[in-house]
Amino acid sequence: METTEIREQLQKAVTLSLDLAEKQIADLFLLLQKGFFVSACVGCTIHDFFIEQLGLSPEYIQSRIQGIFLDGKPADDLEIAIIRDGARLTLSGTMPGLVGIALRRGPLAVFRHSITHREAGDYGYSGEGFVQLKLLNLLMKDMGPELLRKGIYIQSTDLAEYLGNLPTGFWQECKSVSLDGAQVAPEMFQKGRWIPASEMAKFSVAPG
Amino acid sequence: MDKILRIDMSGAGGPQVNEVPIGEYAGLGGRALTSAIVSKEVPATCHALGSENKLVIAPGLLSGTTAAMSGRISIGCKSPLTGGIKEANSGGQPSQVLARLGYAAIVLEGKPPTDDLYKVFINKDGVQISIDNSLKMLPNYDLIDKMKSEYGDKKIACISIGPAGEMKMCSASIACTDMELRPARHAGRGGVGAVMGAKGVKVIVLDDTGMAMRSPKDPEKFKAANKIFVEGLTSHPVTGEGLPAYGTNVLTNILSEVGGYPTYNFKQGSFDGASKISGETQAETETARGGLATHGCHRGCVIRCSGVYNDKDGHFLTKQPEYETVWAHGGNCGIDDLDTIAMLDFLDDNYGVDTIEMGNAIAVAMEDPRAVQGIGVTYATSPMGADHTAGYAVAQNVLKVGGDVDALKPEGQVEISRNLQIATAAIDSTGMCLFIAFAILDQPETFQAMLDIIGAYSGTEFTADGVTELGKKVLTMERDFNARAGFTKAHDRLPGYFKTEAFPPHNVTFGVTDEELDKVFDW
Repeated sequence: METTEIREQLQKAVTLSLDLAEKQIADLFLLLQKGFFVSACVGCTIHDFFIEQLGLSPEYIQSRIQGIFLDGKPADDLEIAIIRDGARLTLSGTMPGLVGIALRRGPLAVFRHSITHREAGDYGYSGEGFVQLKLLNLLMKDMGPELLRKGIYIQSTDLAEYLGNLPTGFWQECKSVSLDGAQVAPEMFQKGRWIPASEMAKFSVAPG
Repeated sequence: MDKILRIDMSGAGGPQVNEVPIGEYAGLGGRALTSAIVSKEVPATCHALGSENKLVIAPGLLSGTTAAMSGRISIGCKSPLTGGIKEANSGGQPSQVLARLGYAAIVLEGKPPTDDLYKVFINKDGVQISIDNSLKMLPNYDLIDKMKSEYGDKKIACISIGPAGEMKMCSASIACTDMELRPARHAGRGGVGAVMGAKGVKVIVLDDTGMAMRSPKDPEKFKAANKIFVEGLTSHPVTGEGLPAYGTNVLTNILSEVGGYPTYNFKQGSFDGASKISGETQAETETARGGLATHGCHRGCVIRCSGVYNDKDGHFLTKQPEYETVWAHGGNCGIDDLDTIAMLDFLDDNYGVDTIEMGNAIAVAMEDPRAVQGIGVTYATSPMGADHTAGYAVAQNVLKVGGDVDALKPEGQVEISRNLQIATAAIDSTGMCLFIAFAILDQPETFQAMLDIIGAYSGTEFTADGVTELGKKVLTMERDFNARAGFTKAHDRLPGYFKTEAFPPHNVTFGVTDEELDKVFDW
């Protein structure tokens, strides 16, 4: 999908918010592995995006984020690689296997030199935009709660399918659901009953 | 482990058992021992399924001790699949049990004159071999159920083949039972199960009742080093957190993201259904169904990267499918349903075939080395064939084997591949699981602890140089065997289309030259 098309869809997104018990947030983590969108100030380095926009500490970045992929390519130098409008950034907290080690920053980066991200050109457009994020494995539980509280944009069909597959008990524990500002019954999201009215949804949680 | 059990299957009056001192092979274990015996005693040009080939089953040097992660077993022979030397490695309980019974190796030799099927039982009192044709064509799970009813289920461990091994199929595996006595761990690569089938042995039942844990020469140093080693493994994000939580299949999402995931018989490197079969989804599914997302394949494992996969009704279906199984039966076949993949994993284990060979027989492909080219160097040159574990034990920046490498220069791939193959061959000989690689890569104190465990066990000082020398020795034996079997540098090549056909989404080709590949074993 083109950047302009995605931007249009984000502007038309329905808003869905769940009021949940804190422990229920973990049931939503797998939603984050396929990819979602966040509003961002683009035209900055990955390092600045992490620190200034995601609020991560340098220690956390160094110790917990083992795999960083910008538009599908391993990014080694976070202070050079630039996040442009519509970029896809995938983050992994664990990278096993020989191939996993090769994809990390480190001595085996040479093993995948032909697919390594190389920065060329200027910063491009700088200002309000969006970034597609994918959070994998350990980073789902680390970074997921805060991002879900702030709200993420996600393909409505993916969200509807995911919510529809959650067990009945999840919806029984859910305190309330707000769809485009109106309170609705949680049951309407079970077993694929919800048919989204737009391509994209802004999804957030409010643990009580 | 000062003796070798040799069983000659070719006697007219039945198999002949000879228990002999370890002799010239003293100090070797695991892969070092299997490769030493095969290289010295098996004619390189023999038929892999004939009487001259030998099947060598060897616990690692540290197996049977209290060293963490030391339950890996090596099974070696001339491979009916590659035509070269092979060591296939497996977890499960047999390595620890066989080591405690005092055997450095079991060697199956010769060829039975009849088509009878044999059962071998080994305990502290000795070895019993009997004909049991009622076992013919039994799948592994049924076979082990029968062994449990005969020998009890408390202390035994089994090494067995399924129908594929009896049929001498080149993809046949050898099953090793896990802690729950399930034949779920497999020496899968190279068709070793076909060689066991050619020897006429269906199952080896091991019982170490009455046998003690093996003792190191320096117990205090051993205990202290093991403690540091375990702390290093449990504190590392991969071995202490990622692998226990998600298993090796955590790689599915990552490889699909970078375009290196086998998909639709390698027509592409990213799979749209990756998130449906990812390690993250798999772990959640296992937990929700009452299975286990964290489970060790043998006692003494602290990483516990395996799991228990139940069906939708909560009944055991198979052990947690590994990354290679998931891509081979999943993405590469266009399947994005975990239950289907899990069922295929069970069927592979039950009939005794390697999941990678089976998945690829359907999809006709293998993990692609065009995106991560350094792995391609290893696939092309390893004496084990294109085995993903052949260059795994990454300790390059700790060992500095062959000097430092400039990570920015592509030429460094050859040197790093060489170092990885050396380190892997050495670790395969200790009985330790290759997944310790992550912790010893990043934490020098964990690497030192591993050296200290080996040193304390043998009562000698074991250094990084010792690791290097051991690895080189193993590789030299293996390369020598393959050269005698007719392999030349022309076999150290990837298929020609890897150099010419671009692989999407990055559209890269394999760029390491033949001249560079020929330098891998220059040391």
